[in-house]
Amino acid sequence: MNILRLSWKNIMSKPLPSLLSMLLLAVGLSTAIILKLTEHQLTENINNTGKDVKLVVGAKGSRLQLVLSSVFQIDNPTGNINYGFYSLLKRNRMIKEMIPVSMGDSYKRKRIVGTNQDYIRLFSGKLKEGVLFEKPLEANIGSVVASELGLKVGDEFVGGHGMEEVLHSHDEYKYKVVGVLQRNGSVLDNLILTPVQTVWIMHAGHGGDSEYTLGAGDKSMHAPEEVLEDSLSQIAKEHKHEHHHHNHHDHGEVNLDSLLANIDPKDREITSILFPNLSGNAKIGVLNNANNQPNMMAVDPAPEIMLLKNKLTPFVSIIIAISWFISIIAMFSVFIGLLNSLRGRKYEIALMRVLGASKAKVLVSILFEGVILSVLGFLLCLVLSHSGMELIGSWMQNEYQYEFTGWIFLSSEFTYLLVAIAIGLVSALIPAYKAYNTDISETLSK
Amino acid sequence: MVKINGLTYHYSSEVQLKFPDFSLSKGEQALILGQSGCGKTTLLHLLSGLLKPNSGAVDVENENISKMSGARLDNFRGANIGIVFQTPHFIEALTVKENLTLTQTLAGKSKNVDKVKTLLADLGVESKLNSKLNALSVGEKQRISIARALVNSPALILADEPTSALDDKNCDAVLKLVREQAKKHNSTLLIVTHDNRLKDQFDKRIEL
Repeated sequence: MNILRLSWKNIMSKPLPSLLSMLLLAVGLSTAIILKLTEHQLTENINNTGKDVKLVVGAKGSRLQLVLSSVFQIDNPTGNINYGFYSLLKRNRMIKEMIPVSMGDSYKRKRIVGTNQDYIRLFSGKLKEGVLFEKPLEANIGSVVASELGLKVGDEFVGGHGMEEVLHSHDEYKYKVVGVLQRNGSVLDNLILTPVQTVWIMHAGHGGDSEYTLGAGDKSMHAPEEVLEDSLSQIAKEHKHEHHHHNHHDHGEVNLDSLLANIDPKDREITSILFPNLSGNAKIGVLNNANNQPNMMAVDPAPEIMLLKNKLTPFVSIIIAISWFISIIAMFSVFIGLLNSLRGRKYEIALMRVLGASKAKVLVSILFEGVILSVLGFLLCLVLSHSGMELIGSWMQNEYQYEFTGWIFLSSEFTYLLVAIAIGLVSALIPAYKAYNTDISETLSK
Repeated sequence: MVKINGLTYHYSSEVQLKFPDFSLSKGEQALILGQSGCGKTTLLHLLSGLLKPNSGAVDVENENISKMSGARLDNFRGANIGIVFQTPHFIEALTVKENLTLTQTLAGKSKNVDKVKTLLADLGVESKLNSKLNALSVGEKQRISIARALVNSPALILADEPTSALDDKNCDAVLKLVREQAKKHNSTLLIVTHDNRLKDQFDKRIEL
């Protein structure tokens, strides 16, 4: 029977007060750890998602909203821009890569994004099965979409207009799943991807932009006529090319290519354009060009994300303050618990001294009790915080397009073990000192 | 083996206690008699080093414990002096066995469960080995506390009114056990009491 075991037995002989102290400590530390886990995953997601997008061009509106909607798939789009602008920039040799993004439709609350294959490469997506989309109405789906909606390669579905609630369904045409992506923790996991042309086909005959515009309700914009003239003829050429290219694939009752060719260039709209690997003069050029258009803007995501992070700082501080507050209460709880338990054990302390325990040994045994309580509190906190995070994570997945998990462990969590031990030691200090100074003779004479 | 010489202790300037000199040889058994308030417990605390005398010396095993202090004194006490208290107290969180093995380790000796079992058997409480203390009767507790005083085979056993809380039958039994066990372990036994039932059973009596 050593001192450590004695301390352990003393704690276990008073399970309820011990549990209360542990629980308070665990709740206090859990709050801090959940915050850390959320912050870590959010930062990682934001960095992974945002790092490769150097510029976003979209309809005028809130700059942050444009970034959130087009890059992070969180908010609603600011509006639409004409595809003509995309085609115009496409001819600029300084711009190596640009990705059109067209949003507004969904299937069972999963967003449908009209884009090109570069979008999948941007987020390092890899196929799990099937092939990448090529033709209109073909779709690639993220792993979460596949598992949650039970879709697989070869399945067909009818999308709807609207991102949260389907305002009306586009039942004339069906999407066809041609590929399922591997899970990689990016926005791709929760998206349905299809060529931009699919969106135009879906919306053909619905009366163009007024139907298509979403969210803030911005009027979709058209590039000035003189800029467009060139690009429109370009589009016409592109579509002739597509027409020939795809002609022999189509056996269906609907000729998509002729339908596409009949869509007025003014009705060919996209939500935004993403520019990966854009820097220097090319970036300045696009910025100026876009910002000079009456209803368009170009936004660099990095400062916007920074701004958003800054806006979150006060909330983070409040949560940190709350966790400290609870931890301090926990400290008092351990302190009062030990003091209470020692009051009843005064005679036992004197007895230990009679049996040969030195003052130092008695001091250490009480400090051990504080440390044991705090280490147990920390272990309880690991259970609470990670299962709590998992719970919050499943709720947050519905709010954001990201998955938060409780089953990751950060090395910084072990700092909280040290914090816990410090709390245990500090709260045991006064009780231990009291035990250290017990007057044995006087105590035994009572 | 045990010797006191010119021992005084002052609680205050009004309450000053002076103790008669005496000495006991190894294995000797003696009684210290006196009415309440005459300083019996004080003497016992002086003998075990729990109190420091204002003057005089207490020698146990040829060591002047009045001069010892700190951990050395605690250690010496644990290893050489066993005390039986008037009301038996234990570490309540532990079982009988754990209380006794803790007594061994606190005295710096190694844990010896066999010795604990033998002792409990000698005292007729072997069935209580794994009991919690709050499940025992007063008589049983007193036997366990005798076992605790003996478990390190100390040179000196001090008993403070060990029988005053017991009825005649238990008084005789407990006294018999203490004396037998002290003899068996070749320990010097000093019983402090005002219990007149014990008076005639000891040859050596010191009156305060």
